[in-house]
Amino acid sequence: MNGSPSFWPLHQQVAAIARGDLSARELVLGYTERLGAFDGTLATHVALSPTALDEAAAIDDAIARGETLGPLAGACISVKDNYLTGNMPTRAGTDVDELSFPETDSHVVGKLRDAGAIILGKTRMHEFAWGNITPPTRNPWNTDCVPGGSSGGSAAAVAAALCSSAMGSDTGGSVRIPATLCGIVGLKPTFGLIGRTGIVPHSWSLDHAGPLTRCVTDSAIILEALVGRDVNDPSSVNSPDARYQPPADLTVSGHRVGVIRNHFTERLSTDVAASFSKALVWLEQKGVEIHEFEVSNLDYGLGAIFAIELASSSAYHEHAIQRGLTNGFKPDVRDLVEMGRLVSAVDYLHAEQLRTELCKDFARIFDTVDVVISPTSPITAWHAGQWELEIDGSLESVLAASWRFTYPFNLTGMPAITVPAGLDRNGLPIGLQIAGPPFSERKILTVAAAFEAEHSYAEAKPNGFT
Amino acid sequence: MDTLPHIFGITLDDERLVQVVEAYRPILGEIEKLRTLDFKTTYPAVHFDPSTAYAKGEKKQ
Repeated sequence: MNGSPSFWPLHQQVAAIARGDLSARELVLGYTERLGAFDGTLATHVALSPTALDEAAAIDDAIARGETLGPLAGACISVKDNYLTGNMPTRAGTDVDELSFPETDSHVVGKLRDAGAIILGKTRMHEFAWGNITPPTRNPWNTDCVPGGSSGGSAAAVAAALCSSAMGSDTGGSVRIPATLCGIVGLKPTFGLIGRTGIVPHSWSLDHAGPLTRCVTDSAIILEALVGRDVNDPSSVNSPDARYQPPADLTVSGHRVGVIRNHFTERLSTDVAASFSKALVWLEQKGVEIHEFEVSNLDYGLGAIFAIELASSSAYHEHAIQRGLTNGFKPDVRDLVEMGRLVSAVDYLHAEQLRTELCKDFARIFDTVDVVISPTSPITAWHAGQWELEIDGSLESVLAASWRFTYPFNLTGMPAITVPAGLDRNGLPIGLQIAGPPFSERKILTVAAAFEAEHSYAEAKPNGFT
Repeated sequence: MDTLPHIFGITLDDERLVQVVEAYRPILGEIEKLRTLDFKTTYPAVHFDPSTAYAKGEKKQ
């Protein structure tokens, strides 16, 4: 590999460290230097590990002794600030001092450390994961723009090569939206595949943990390290697969791909529509069968996810509301946290009934196709402070638009990945979303890797952070 | 009517409640669409497992 190791994909970093061609200490120092140079502008991290260099030195010593280490040995992975960590404080994006969180490793952080990863730091998030702006973090592709959210710090840090990879959480798109807006890969696995003990809850039945990476292979390697039952997470399941890395032969010929024509291809910006059309042409040229579907129940999805998220979030924050602590939340988050009491139990159960129907709708689709694809977001990154924009001739809130194509897969718990799919006319990244039936991670990762391998989009880097 | 906030467990003061209801209005429009569906035969996507509490596991955080 050429260039600074900071820019290498994680899997090449760990291979070089295992061979002794790169030291873990060198990698940590490289990222520390870059954070010093660029994080004043990007504001991606809220804490840096005080033990990262010592951990790196221990890894280098172990390799010098000829020991075989874990699959992530030496990788510098930062985690969203809603993952509990034993050596750094957790704030979940809030400034309310009266709210505190245990200083102990979350399930995911423990698994990452077991695999040899160095937890480099904690990344900035939208407060309590309730939004997709992540102030004051900025997008490396244009620092006037937002990185998306709520895992905005994770996405911007990976895009600007301030860590090897990062972890985020995704309740309605919070891994995939910022990954798309920052031009990287974001994976939301099947609900329950990655244990969530020690991640500050937002909405118990919608929350997913997932990696944000510079390439598809890195997402697969991290997923391999994180699967396995989390006994304290009632939703956790054992992984049906031990390996998620795509096969060497990345052919997609013979695959059957679905496009849901309502909802998922409506109201796209011109450049996103063009990018999606190009992706479909590429698939057809590769011998993929494209099938089209309509899912009428998607018309009710927004009401369903709001009913579940609002009620769940208010239930989690109930005592903070009663104590008046939500007065200290950011105004947008405070509104959402305090309005959950307005959702009736009947509305909540209707929302859960709609989820059942949506799952049945998708199960029928997957009788015919292997995966479904869509743009990840109908829009690219917007300017900080901008709240609305015109899409396909009508005005829409940027917040409503940005999660339109991601939240259905939180309602259905299906795995979904976003991969870079080009740049718009302003040089801002566009993403392609690939989703499949529960536990089809290998399949969606393979299609994503095949797309990535034949396009140079993932190799594009934001200017100004080299 | 003034007892409704109490019935719903709403502890916000009147002025704040007006603000929250105003912010909720567009979301309510989406939730109202759900109310038009007839779900009599659909089991909600909630799962109750009476054996969970008996499972041997680590202490909860």
